[in-house]
Amino acid sequence: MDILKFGGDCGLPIDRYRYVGMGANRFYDFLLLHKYLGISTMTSLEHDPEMFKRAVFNVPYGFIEVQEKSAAAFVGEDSGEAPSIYWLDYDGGIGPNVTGDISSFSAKLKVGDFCFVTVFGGPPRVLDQQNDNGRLIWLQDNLGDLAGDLLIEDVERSNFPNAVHKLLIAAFRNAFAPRRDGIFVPLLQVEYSDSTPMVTVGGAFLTLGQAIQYRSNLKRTLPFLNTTDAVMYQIRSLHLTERERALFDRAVTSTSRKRVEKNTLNKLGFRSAEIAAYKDLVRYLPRYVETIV
Amino acid sequence: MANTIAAQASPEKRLFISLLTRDIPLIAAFLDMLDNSINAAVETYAARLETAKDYMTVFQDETLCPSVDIRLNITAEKVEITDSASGISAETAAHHVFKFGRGANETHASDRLSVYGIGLKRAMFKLGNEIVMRSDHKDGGFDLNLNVSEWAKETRQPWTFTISPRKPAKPEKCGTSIIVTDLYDEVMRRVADGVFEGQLREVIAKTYAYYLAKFVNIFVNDRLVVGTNLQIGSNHASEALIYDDVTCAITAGIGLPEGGQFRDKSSGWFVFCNGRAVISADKTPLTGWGGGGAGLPIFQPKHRPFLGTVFFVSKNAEHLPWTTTKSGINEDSALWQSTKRQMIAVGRIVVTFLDGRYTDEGTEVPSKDIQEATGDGVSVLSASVSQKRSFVTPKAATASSTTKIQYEAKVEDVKRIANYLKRSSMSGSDVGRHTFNHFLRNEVGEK
Repeated sequence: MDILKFGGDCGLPIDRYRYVGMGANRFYDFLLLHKYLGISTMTSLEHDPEMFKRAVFNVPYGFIEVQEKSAAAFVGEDSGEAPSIYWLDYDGGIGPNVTGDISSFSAKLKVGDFCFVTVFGGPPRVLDQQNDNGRLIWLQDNLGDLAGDLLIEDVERSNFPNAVHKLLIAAFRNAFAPRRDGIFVPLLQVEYSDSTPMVTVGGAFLTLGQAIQYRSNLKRTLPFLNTTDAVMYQIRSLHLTERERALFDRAVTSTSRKRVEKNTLNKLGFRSAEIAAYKDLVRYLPRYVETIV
Repeated sequence: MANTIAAQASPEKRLFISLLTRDIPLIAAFLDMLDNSINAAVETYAARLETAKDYMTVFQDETLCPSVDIRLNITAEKVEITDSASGISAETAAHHVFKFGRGANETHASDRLSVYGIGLKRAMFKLGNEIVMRSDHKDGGFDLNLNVSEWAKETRQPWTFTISPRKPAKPEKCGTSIIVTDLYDEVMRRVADGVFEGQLREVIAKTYAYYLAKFVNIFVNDRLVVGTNLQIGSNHASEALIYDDVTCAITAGIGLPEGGQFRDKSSGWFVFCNGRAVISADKTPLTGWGGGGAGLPIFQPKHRPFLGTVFFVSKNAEHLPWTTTKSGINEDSALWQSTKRQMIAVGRIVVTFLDGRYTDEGTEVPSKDIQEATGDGVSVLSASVSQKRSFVTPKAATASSTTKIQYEAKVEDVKRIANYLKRSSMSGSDVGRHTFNHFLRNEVGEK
């Protein structure tokens, strides 16, 4: 949300953008984008016929058009002229369908458009039974040159999000390399996890001036995001109670030299790296509450 | 006697540079730079590298390990290659290195990968406008600062580059570095396209597998490139040929599966000239595939286990059938035409065996079945120069005791069965197997 907000500083009228996403039956991203950025032209893609019925039933705003299409089918038929934000949020893991979609969308993106991709960070189901070598061979055979930079250690099960990140960033870079009307700026390269690891990579296709401005804004406000090199930021899951969170808030925002809160956190078993990670994200971490309806 | 006029026929530098660089892919240009460094690294071993058999003897010499580092650092702003080989003397630079092409009587007995005398210049011209080259040599090296566009404007004859001599260097300080900046737009885009570095690393691993094993370490952006270790089954056919001062070893057999599969990138013909791969995994008419009655058949998935190698060696590198970019074969060369016929003869028995594995169930051959005919894996390089031998066609396996059943079913019905079994993630084949077993057990009865 914050990344898109900077669009205004670079002369991009974000509230007049069209949002194309995959809202499923809950539309969380659609709700946030309308509420906080004022976007009111929205399309949700749903390729599963069963889920499509539920998506239509659950659509929260009348201006959201739900289309029973895959991303590939949509991009092939779309003739929209409005500046757009695309968020391709896949259910499954990395594969040629994902990188193929990145290639197709990049050909359509106009200067000022955004495109993000989210996929499962673990090995795709087809690789469930494979060892490290088998996974590497499958990726090389199915994703070709995009997998050229992968090492055997990248495809170890515990490291697989790194492989996914390398593949996605290579796909974006390769897709935009022939374009001469702008440059692709990777604005978001993150791994996060609740129950399963997820990787999101994406950015904007901008003029050189916009790119400089965007990078400068992000460096100032979200310095942990790298907008130049292929560096993924891992969003830690801290699983804090409300009391712990209050302590974290004070610890990372205090200007005092006293280290009372940090010492207390240390005693509770939290390490400096976790405190530093919290400091990066203090403004952005959502607050979860339990309610009984 | 009629008057004569000397009509201008001298080349324009601008056209010359354009012709020189237009037809070479960027990756091949980087390989040209590496060829130069590797050529310098093997200079002292040249006397041991004169025939295909020599190459194998050196390959099997366990006392020999890489002694020269070549570092290639590439960004969108700058390309830099450095090596720790013996360097280039000012004398050699002044008379040979920067000449475009070799003189009629010019021979360099120690050259193995330097052929036509244009690769280095062409590579530098391909990359960018500002070139800084420095070489340290025991007899004194040189510095070169070249602005290509300025040089192209000069009309003075003969063409020269201005170099400055450097003092003699101690052996451990010898080596050459080339830095190219003010890169051309197409180069900047290509090196930043997200796949270039991986492609380059893979090509280097394939092209210089022989040299990476014994002579040089190559680093691309500080990461060591590991040579591709292609292996062929010990049951293979091989043939040795001699054409004047060129020796040639041809091998054909079955490759080894990786991850349980025969991979497309490891199948087809691989051709090496003086240890450098010139073409890899070729499945085109160039190597005889799709040649109808006179050649091998059109390559199909069932041929994927096929692996063939051709290893040409000559101490006169210009006699080998490579093109000037060294990324292709001069199809019209008499040497290649003779060799191609031999390749087809050697390869045909393997292809015939693979064709015989074709069944009604598809063109994909089960790798387990093929492996029985393969034998243990040996390096393609050692297989290439082994003694003449024939591929032994295994006896046909006895008829299989199993068969495949395939049929169409409505997705909705398959899902209904999976849901009924409370296993909604069952695939179509799982459902088929389950229902078959159920019928066999409950209707037919166990044996």
